[in-house]
Amino acid sequence: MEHEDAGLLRKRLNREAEKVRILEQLLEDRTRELFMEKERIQKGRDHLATILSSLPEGVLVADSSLRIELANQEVYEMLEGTKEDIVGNKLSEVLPPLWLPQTLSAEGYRFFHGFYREEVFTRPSGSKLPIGITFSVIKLEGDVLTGVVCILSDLTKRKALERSLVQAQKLEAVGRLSAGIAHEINTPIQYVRDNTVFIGDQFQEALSLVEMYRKFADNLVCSAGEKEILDKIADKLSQVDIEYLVLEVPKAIEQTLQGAESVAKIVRSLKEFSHPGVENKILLDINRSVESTTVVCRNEWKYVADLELDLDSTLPKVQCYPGEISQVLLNLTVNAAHAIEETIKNGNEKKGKIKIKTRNLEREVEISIEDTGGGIKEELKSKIFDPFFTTKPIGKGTGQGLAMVYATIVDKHSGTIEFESQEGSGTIFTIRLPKG
Amino acid sequence: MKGEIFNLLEQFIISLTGEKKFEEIYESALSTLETKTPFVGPDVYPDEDFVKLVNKAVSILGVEKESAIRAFGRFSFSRLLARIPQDQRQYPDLKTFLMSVNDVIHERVKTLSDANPPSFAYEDPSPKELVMVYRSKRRLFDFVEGMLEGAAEYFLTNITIERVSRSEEECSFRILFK
Repeated sequence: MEHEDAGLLRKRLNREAEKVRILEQLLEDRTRELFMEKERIQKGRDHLATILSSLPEGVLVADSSLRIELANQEVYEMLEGTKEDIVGNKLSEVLPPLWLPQTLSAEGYRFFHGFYREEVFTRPSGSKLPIGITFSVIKLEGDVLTGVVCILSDLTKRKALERSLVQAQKLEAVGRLSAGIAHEINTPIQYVRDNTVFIGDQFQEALSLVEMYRKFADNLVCSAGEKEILDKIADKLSQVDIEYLVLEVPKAIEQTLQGAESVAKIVRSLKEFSHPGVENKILLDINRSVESTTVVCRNEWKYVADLELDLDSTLPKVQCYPGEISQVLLNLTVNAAHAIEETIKNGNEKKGKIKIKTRNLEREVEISIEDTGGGIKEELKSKIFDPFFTTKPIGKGTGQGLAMVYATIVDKHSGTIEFESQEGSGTIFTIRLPKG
Repeated sequence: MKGEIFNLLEQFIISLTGEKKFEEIYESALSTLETKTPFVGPDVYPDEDFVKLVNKAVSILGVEKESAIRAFGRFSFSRLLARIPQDQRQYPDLKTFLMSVNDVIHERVKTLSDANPPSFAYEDPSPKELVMVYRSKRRLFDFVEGMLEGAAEYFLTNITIERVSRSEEECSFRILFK
């Protein structure tokens, strides 16, 4: 019996010992699984955090009591806050002053579902930030509302784009009108020129006749009565100051003709510049385009700079979209003028210089626009061709920036555009367009 | 099936017949079992091993299978209840407890993907009545009935149980509270 009991006990003990070993192994396995699961969860969290932090939008996640439980870095930067300022607070305490429900009830769901609004947020620094706010509700299975996701979008660039678009539309309208205006002005200017030429010619004829009469009167032997008449004529001639008229009237006619010719030139240039957009490229005389453009924008540069044109007479015509090339030349010339204007504002009293040069290279035509303005700062050089990059206030310049210039030359004409700039000395932009 | 049920079966048999008889039953069944190692509570084992052990026990002990399984259910209830943390088992009465069973089961076994827990659905026709619909591939109807009796004992409540089979894997227990 004792032997049996001992045997039974031994079996029991062995089995329990085996259970302990199995449990230890199980514990080890489960611990390892838990550890790996924890690592997976942490990786998942890190990945989510990376995604959230790389989003260009601000993301806020609030729980069912509308208390913020998560925010990404973009939120802190947009709202100029820290994690302590934002996480843990109610949405209504953090977001711009717009009415928000305090709970995620049915009413709250109706409010948040598909919500979008644009607001201007005044940041702690006092600066204003236009933001777009979008809400969406987090719903689990069974229609359980567990929270709200809020996306904040910085609308600064979009607003700038809208302003640029408005400006571009205005300029487009002006461009459309200018062709018609130019045409309307052209005819009367022709009258003025033709009639001024006529007046000049007839004045010379009249002068010749007066001279003939004077010579005749000087040599005339006449009676007393005839002499009286001749004296009166001489007095009249003296009053009229015919000598003065002989000197000045031709000058006046010449100046009138020059003025009329200038107006005609501006009208011609404006008509050429306002050439409507064409769908296909045409052979364009770049030199003529340069001349027209400088005439059109004369008012931008004439007070601040002297313009020098060094145009290669052998420059061939090049396949181009004429309106777009004119726009490029206009942008760069106006930019040059504004750069010089800035140096004058900063104390330099001398007029600057803009030099536009064309050259006929082996495979390309080259256009360079050089100015004696303030140059481009080193830290801005990499950005000047970025869309919407500008250092000018709205209304100054064409409003479309060098991004348009780059796209036109490089993308649409397979050309190149480079620049060299020295702060304090000036800038030169060089464009090359392929021939043929 | 969770290892803890196997351990409870061992405890039940030992409490009724002693260690020696249990060893006899276990040794006799071992060669037919898929599991060759001792059963440990946290692990999960084939349902068939449980059935084989029960059948062997019933055969060696010469008892009626349904009654034995019902008695096992009664025996197991308080011991299974003790596994739930104290702060999670504050139930005012038997009916409230019974209506929480489905949630409790799932909470206990949700980490074990192959545990295949049973499910309970409820009908509450009146304050003194409850219908529990038990659904499981294991079809342990007798065990569940025994558990209900054990629960009634634990909560010091008199009940009558009416069992109605609904399908191969489902049966309902109409419980009347006295």
